[in-house]
Amino acid sequence: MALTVLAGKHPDQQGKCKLSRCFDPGRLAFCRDLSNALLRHPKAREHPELVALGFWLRDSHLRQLQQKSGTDSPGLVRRPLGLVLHFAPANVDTLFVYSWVCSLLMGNSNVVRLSSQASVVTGLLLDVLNELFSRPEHTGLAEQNSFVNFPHDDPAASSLSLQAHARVIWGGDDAVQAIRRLPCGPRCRDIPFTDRYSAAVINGDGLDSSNLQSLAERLWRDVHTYSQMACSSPRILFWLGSTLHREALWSAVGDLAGGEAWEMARLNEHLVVSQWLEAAGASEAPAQLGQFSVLPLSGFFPEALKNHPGQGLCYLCEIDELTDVTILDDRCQTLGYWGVEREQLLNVLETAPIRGLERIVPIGSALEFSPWWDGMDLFAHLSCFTVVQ
Amino acid sequence: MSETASGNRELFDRDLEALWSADPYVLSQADKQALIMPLLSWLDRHHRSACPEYERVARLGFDSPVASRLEDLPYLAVRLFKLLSLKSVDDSEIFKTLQSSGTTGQSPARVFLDRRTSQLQSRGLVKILQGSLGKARLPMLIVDSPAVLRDRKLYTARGAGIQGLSFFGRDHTYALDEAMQPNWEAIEGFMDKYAGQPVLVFGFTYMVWLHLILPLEAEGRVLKLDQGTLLHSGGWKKLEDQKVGHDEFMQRAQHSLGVQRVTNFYGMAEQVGSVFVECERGHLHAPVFADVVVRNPSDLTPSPVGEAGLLQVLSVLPLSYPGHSLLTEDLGTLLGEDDCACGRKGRYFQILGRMPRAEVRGCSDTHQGGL
Repeated sequence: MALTVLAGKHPDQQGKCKLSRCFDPGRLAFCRDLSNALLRHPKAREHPELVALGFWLRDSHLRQLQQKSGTDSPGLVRRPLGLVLHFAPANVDTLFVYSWVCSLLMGNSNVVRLSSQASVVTGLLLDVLNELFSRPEHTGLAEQNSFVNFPHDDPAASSLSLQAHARVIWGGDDAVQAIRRLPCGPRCRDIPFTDRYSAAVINGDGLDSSNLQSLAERLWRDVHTYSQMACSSPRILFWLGSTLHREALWSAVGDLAGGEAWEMARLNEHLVVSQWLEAAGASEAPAQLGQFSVLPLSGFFPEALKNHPGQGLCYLCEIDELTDVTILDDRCQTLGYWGVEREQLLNVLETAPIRGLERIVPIGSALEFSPWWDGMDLFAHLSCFTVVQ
Repeated sequence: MSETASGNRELFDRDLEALWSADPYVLSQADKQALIMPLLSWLDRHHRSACPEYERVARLGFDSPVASRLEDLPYLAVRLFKLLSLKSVDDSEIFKTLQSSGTTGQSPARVFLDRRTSQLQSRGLVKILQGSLGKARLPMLIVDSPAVLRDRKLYTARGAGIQGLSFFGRDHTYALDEAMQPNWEAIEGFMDKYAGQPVLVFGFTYMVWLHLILPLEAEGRVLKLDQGTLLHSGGWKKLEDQKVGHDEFMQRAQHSLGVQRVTNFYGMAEQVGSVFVECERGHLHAPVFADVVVRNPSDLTPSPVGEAGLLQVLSVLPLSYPGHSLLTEDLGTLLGEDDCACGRKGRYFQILGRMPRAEVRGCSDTHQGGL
């Protein structure tokens, strides 16, 4: 087996039968230390995703999550599941930490298979983890967590998969299906995170010169993180109501985008997608290709969302009513909103027969990870319940 | 085709005919532009009226329908030929469909040719290459496998290139076998027959490198084609990956093949016929019926001489498909106009290789970044 250990113990040497309680104080303490280490890391400023992770791991936030997870039902005892095998995504560097921490807090032992395309951020994270695991108070955790790498076709994949009680699988649709075909035990649970896209809806009626900059900043935060290639970044903007300040909004976002160091190929990618959609008759108004590119669509085209080039381009689709957002298909994960009442959105969800749309969040927080992701409750999926009557 | 466009067709044909009569490199850029701008503008109108996809892109993406400079003409991103079927003729008039090999994971580009466009392409190629190779047909060693031409259904750009160039040679000898290994018997036979005579060796740059130069070096052999010319074309991407530059390729080709002249040209499946040949100074030259514009990759505005950017290629030959003005994904630098030391007039430039594609980022690890 060509398995390399990057942090923690070798999977074969993991301490058996040493599961913790859910929300075990020792594990919460580890998360606190991890949070501090990330927030104080000398390179943290260069990598805002590390800071975001550090904030997410704050004790107060984790306690909030614990409360929301609702385990205090009498007669219902939440217990760990066992060994959880994680397949981390290749390019969204910090994502694997979030789902790993959810599993950690449920008391499980973990093996995390990282992509072989190690990035700078992954390297920094592994350094931090190794340092924490070497501390005497965390040796117990080091024995139950392995961060490893092995080739896709390595026998390690099958042998670990057979031992796992749950598999957390990040990847494209094909990769996820390939991993799910690996042999596993009859009671093994799969938690697949596949290709998704996201959208946002803006009601222009509420937009004026006093709040325009704030919306531009929130929108930009959602768009530019991970070069807009994360599933939760909006690719299509639905526009309701007045278009009076719309151009001003685009130029405010463009100003924010001006400082971004994009890839050289970026604008050509935008040109290819805009000409492709124009030629195909999917766009009937000129595209604005620039620091922030806006490409008007004359309807909903699933192909346009699948072939989105990222790097600061949004499709624009005008709608007459909020319920029109339900033309999105079940691949849509997150809907950001601005200028729209939360109650209206709840109303749409209750009345429209839609699939997908598993997160509806204010614009500006699309990338904030939560244990309720892709329609799943990670805490529930990564633990089991015993009923005591 | 609309009434007016076809009415102007005769004018187009007459002006195009005038281009053939001149040497491809004698006109100054100003004189040349005055000749080809009306032709390119006519092609713009022709494709707007005959190809609805082109019409929509040109109308939505480009300001003015009347262009006075090369730089103002609409252009299509060359990748569109991989994504769409773009043609300006009825299906019944399609004479052959050219298909690029296409990189893994992408559909190949398709270029639809009617008889007239195909003829213009051959004529263009002859016009340009006769200048470098002379009018006599030379014994020709083709650095490829005969299998590449065998599959008639799949008319690949590689096959088309070989077929187009075959016109300049006789006694066509394939240097490689079906397994892309040197066919030593054929090569030696060719050498014995034509030692000391002018010959033409043609192949795609990477094929010549990988399947002829490297095997020759590995076997310690040299060919003695000292009166030969090696004509090669095609991407440098794979050679760049192996850290082989232009000069090194040339030196090692000269040594292994024994040839004195090594001539590179730049061209693409989407504009067969209008090729840009390298001069003695190592510069690529635009012939009279084609031209280049370099654009800044960050805003697509035209770049001045000396500034690297994305290469746009223009050609008056594509009638059956909207390929007269294409934005390539190759990086190049315009080196000057009318003042190359070789004496050729018009624009000259150099190619710097493919523009690096954006790094794929996303929650998925197999998704190859869309289109």
